[in-house]
Amino acid sequence: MIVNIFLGLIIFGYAGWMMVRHIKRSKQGKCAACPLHKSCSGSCSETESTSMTEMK
Amino acid sequence: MSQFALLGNPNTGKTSLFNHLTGSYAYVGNWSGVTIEKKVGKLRHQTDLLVDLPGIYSLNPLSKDEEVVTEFLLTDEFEKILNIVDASQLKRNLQLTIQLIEFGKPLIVGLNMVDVAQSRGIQINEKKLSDILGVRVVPIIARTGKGCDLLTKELTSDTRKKSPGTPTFKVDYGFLEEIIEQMSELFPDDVNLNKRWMAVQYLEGNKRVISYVSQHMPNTALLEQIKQEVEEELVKRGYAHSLRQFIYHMRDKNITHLLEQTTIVTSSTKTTTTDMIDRVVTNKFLGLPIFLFFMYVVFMLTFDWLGTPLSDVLDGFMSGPLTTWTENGLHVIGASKFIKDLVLNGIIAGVGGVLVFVPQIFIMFFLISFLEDSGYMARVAMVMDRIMESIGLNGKAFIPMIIGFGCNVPGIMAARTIEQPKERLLTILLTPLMSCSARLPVYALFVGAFFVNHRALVVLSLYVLGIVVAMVMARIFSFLFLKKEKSVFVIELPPYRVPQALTLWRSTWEKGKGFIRKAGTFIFAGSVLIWLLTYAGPHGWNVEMDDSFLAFIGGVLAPIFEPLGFGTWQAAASLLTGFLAKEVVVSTMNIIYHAPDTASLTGVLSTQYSALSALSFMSFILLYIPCLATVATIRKETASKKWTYVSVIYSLVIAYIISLVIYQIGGLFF
Amino acid sequence: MNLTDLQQGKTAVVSDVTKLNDIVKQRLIDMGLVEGQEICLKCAMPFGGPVMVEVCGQCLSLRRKEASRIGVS
Repeated sequence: MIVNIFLGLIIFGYAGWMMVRHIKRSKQGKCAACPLHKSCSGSCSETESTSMTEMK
Repeated sequence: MSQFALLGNPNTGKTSLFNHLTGSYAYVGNWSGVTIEKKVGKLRHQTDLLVDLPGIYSLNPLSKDEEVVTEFLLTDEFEKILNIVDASQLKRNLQLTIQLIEFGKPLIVGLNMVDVAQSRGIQINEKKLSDILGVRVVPIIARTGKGCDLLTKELTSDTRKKSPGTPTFKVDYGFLEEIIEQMSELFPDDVNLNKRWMAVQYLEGNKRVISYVSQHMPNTALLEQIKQEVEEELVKRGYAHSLRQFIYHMRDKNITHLLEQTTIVTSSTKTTTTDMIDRVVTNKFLGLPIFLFFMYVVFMLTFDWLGTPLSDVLDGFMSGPLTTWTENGLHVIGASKFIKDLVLNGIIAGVGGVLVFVPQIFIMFFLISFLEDSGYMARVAMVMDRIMESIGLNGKAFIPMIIGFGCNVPGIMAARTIEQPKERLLTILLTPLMSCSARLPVYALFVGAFFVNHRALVVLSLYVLGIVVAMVMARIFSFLFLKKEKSVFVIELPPYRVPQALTLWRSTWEKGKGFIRKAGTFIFAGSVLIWLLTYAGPHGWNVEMDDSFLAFIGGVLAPIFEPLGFGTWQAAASLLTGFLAKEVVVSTMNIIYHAPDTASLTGVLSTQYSALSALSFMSFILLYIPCLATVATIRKETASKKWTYVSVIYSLVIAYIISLVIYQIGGLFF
Repeated sequence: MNLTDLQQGKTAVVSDVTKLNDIVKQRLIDMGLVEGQEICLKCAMPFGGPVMVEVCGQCLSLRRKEASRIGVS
C-alpha cells in the first residue's frame, strides 16, 4: 500500500511539475528553444524595444 | 569579472570560436546569418564573459540581426572587442575593423581561416599587421580550435595592465576631418562614446547612431545642416556620389595601402572545388531538380530506407522486453492495479509511442545539419529566389523555412536576417506551415497504417502541401495588406566545405536532444494527464473509456470535424492536446486506443479511419495551429498581438478548408 | 554596358553602382562590389532568376533586375 502511494505521488508530482514548467517555458518561446538557455545570461528580448515598431 | 564582445563579418567563424572559448554548443552553420541573437557564455577556466553577436558588414544596420549588434555597442557595458577577421577576405573585413578601431575600445584581432588563406596563396605578415593597426593580431583556426588558448590569454591578461590593446591606427578622411572635429564639439559630454566615431557614423548615415544622438541632444538641426552641406560640397567637387561612398573609399585606400605592406599573394585564380560543385548544383537547368532530388533522398532515408526499420526495432523492444520487465517489476513490489495501469497504459504507451520515432527524427536532423554546414543552404536560397519572387518574397525567406522543418521556433527567429520588414513578417507568418519534426511521428504512425507501400511519397507530399499552402498564403497576404514594399535579394554564397563529423554529430544531437528531453518531461506529464482523463469520468473512477472525461471533452468538439472525415471524440481530443506540443497527439492516440505497440495501434486505427480520412487528418495536423512555443515566439518577434492572432486564426481556417476539400473531393473518386 | 550583358564566365570592371536601390547598394558595397572592382558573371538562373557573380574571390547572388543596373566596362 505504501509503495502504491509513494509511486503515485512521485509520478503525479513529477508530471504536474513538468506540465507547469513546460507551459512556462513555452510561453517564453525562443529562449526555451536555444541550446544555451541554461548558461546564457543575455536576455533575448532585449532588442524587442526596437523591433518592428513600424509594423504595429 | 569583465565582458568581451565578439564581432566580425558574417560567416567568419565567430560562433565556432565562441564554442571553443566558452565550451558551449551554440548553433553553427556555413551561411551568413546563423547567429541572430546575442549569446553570453563564460570563458573556460575564467570568470570573464564572452558575448557572441550576429555577423555584420558595417555598423550601420540594415536588418534586425544587425540591429542587435549596434544596439549592443551603444548601450551595453564591455571591456574589449574581439574582432574576428577572415584572412582570405581581408580587404572587405578590414572595413569593419576600421570602424571598430574608431569606436575606441581596446581591440584584439583574431585572424581566422589562415589555413584557407594559405591554400589560396595569401601570405599574411601578422606581426606587421599588428604593428600598423596598433592591436594584437592572433592567427587562429576556429573550426579546429587552433590558437584559441593564446587568444584567451590575450583577452584576459591585458585587462589588469590596462593601456596596451587600444588601437593606434587612424584613417585620415581628408577634408572631412575638419567637419568631424566640428561635429565632435557639438556632441553632449554626458555620452560615454567616442565622439570621433559618432561623428563619422553620423556622416555615414548610421540610422541607429543618428537616433541615439537625437535622444541625447535637444536639437540636431545644426548637425543635419552640416551633414547636408558637406555632402553637397563633396558632390560638387566630384569626389564621390555620397558621403557614405566617400568614407568607404577613404577607408578602402587605407586598407589597400595596408595590405600592400602586409600580404603577399602568390598564386592567382584557379578552379576550386567550390566552382566545380557550383557548376552542377547551380546549373541553369539542373539547379531546381537537384534540390528536389536532395529532398526526395532526405525523405526516403527518413521514412523508408533507414528510419522505419530502425524505428521498428525500437518499437519491438518497447512493446516486448521493456513492457514485460516493467510489468514483472511492478508485480514484485506489489503495485496496485491503478499504478500498473498508469505505468503500462499511460506512461509506457504515451512516452514510448513517441520515443520509437527517435531514429527517424535524428536522421532528419542529421540531413538538415548537413545542409546547413556544407554551404548548400545559400545556394538553395538562390535557386528558389525566382519562385519566391513571384509570391512577393525573396530566396532568403526559404532558409527560415528549411530550418522550420526541424523546429518552427528557430525558423521564425532566422527570419531576422531578412532586410525588408514586410518580407520578414510574411516569413514569420508562413514558417509555422513548414512541417516541424514534432509532426513527423503523427505522419509516421498514419502512413504505417494506411500507406505502407508509399510511405515516403505520402509524407513528402504533406511537406510539399505545407510549402504550397505557404506560397499561396504569401500571395494572398501580400495582395491584401502588405503590398507597399519592394522585395530585395542579395546573398553571399560561401565556399563549400566538407562538414566535420564532430560538428555534424553535435548539431544533430543538439537538435535531437530537445526531442528526447521533451519525451522525458512534458510528454511524460501529458501522458499521465491524458491517462487520468481516460481513467476517470463523470461517474467515477476506472470507467469505460467512452464514459471518461476525455471522451466527454472530445465529444463536444467532434461534430465540428465530422465533415472532415474524423468526427470522433478520439481525434478531437488528440488535436486539443497537440496545441501544447504536437508530439502529444501520438501519445494521446496510443493511450486512447489502448494499444500495446505501434503495430496493433495501426490495426485499431484502420477501424476508425479510412485512407482518405487519414490523409485529411494528417493535413489538418500539418496546418492547424502553431504549437504554444511557436505562438509565443511569433508574439515576441513581431511585437504585435494582432499578427499573433492572425497567425493562429488563419492557420486554423486554412487547415479546415484544406482538410474539407481533401475529404469531400477525394470522396467523389474513392 | 551593364552586368547582364556580360557573357557567362567573362570578367569586367564595375563602373557604376549609383542606379541601384539603396538597400541593395549598401549590401553590395559591404560585400566588396564597388566601382573599380573586377567582377565575373558565373551563372544565371532560368526564367529571369537571380545571377551569381564573383567579386574579390567571393561569390554572391543578386537579382537580374538589380544586376542590369550595375554598369561595367
